[in-house]
Amino acid sequence: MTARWWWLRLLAFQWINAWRTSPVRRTLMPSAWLLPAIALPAALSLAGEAPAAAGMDWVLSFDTPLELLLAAQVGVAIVALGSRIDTESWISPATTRGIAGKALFAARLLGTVRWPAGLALAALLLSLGSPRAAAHLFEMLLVDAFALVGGASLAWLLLGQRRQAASTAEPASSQLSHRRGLSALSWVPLREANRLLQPRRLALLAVPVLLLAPMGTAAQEVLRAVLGWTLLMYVASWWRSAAQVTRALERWMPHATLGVQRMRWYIWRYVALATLIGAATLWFGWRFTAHRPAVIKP
Amino acid sequence: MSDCMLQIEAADLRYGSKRVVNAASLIVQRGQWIALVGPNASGKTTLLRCAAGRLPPARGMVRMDGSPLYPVDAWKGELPGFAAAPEELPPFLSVQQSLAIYANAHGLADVPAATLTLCRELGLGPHEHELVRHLSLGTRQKLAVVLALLTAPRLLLLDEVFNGLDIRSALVLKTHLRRQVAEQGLTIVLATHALDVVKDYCDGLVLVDAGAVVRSWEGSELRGFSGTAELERALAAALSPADPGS
Repeated sequence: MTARWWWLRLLAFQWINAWRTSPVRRTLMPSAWLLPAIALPAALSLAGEAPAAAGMDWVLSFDTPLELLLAAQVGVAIVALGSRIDTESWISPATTRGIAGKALFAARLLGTVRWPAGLALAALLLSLGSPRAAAHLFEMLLVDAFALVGGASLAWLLLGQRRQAASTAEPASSQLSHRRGLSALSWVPLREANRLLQPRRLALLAVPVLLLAPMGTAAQEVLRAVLGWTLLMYVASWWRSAAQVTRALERWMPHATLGVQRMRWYIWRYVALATLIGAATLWFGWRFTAHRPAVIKP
Repeated sequence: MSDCMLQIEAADLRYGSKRVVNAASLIVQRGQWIALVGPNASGKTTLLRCAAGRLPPARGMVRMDGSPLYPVDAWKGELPGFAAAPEELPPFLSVQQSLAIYANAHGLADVPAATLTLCRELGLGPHEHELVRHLSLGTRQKLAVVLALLTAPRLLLLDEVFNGLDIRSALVLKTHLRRQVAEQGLTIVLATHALDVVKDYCDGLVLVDAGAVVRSWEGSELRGFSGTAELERALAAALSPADPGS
């Protein structure tokens, strides 16, 4: 059997196994997309002009939060696809996959934009049911386009960062070398917090702010709230990680000749500095953006 | 200077209200490698923690070099090296960071060259930049031993450090420890179930059961056993019969 068919068979078995182990989830997943993207808009469109127009107005009232959510979803999905391709290329290099492999890759890439595509479909169906809704179709497609560009940019940034991290993580030499350790300890809480706040979790943390934004809130206000909330999450994570690192090191080296206070100084100093920078950024950012003229929604 | 490196006298050791060790006494001479052997949960690790200055006795006395070890804050000498359990190592540090931070925290400017050589011999070199959380049990075990040896202590306490070690690393470690005992006068207390190590490398054996020291064997007596099977039978005979209800 050629490597190509072996790989395709492996994917097929993976897919069947996923259906066998979690059939409910696998059934609900497509319907979670079909319902808001096709079923509901089609029903509203068939119900008449007024429901279709009301549906379009309702969706448009969430324009900025929706755009940010879609961008985050696209970004995270592309990064996840990148990870999956990396894993699979270890099993079967891309050059051995042929046309079937390329088609599968294209289908997967399409899958990363399923929610912006769903929104475009919903808008199209609603605009078919009402001329008033059709007038807003361009605006809706613009939201979609911005989300796509934003998501792709986010993925590009994240993938680039990961590649850079992987290249610096490679050992410079196989020889253990002398290095001063305590200064390295100062970076540990920040690194741990960064690990904790992975993009998927950050996107989830932003959801409450997006949902709490009242209808018709200016884009600038929503962005300000999301950035402020994210910064607060980072500060809280730095403090939590620093406390955990302190506890772990005191348990590991209870009788170190270095005093407890000096060890705490090394652990907490960058956290304190980062907190001060974060607070200053928040304060200046708030003041600066407060003086800008607000963007009024149409 | 007394020949006695570690002396535990009628020590009661507790975790909260639970008494784990009951009036245990133990004497370890300088430059000896002593094995603590006993069933699971018999109090071996608790005795080691007490000797390391991490668990003060509720009753009794612990002396190192003839001076009371507790209260540890008042202890002026050098504390024993203690190979922490692998799960106690900080998971967020790399191997290199663990070594450097441990050295700096114990007053050393750099990781000693002898420690780096031992790391290479044990095969830790390729894992230099890996985080402890990503290491296998055996690799973490090696790191724990290397860290315990880093400050060149005169008394080394090892808790089942040969668990999870591959054959080559185990041999390197056993040979290194034996050489340290012979050449540097290092004293080792090793809690273990590995009777081959006990028979071939140790200078004495102390059998612990139900929180008490049951019996001990000198090195010459250990060499007298024809193999580990005979030693195993002798240890089983010295242990109290297992509770049929348990």
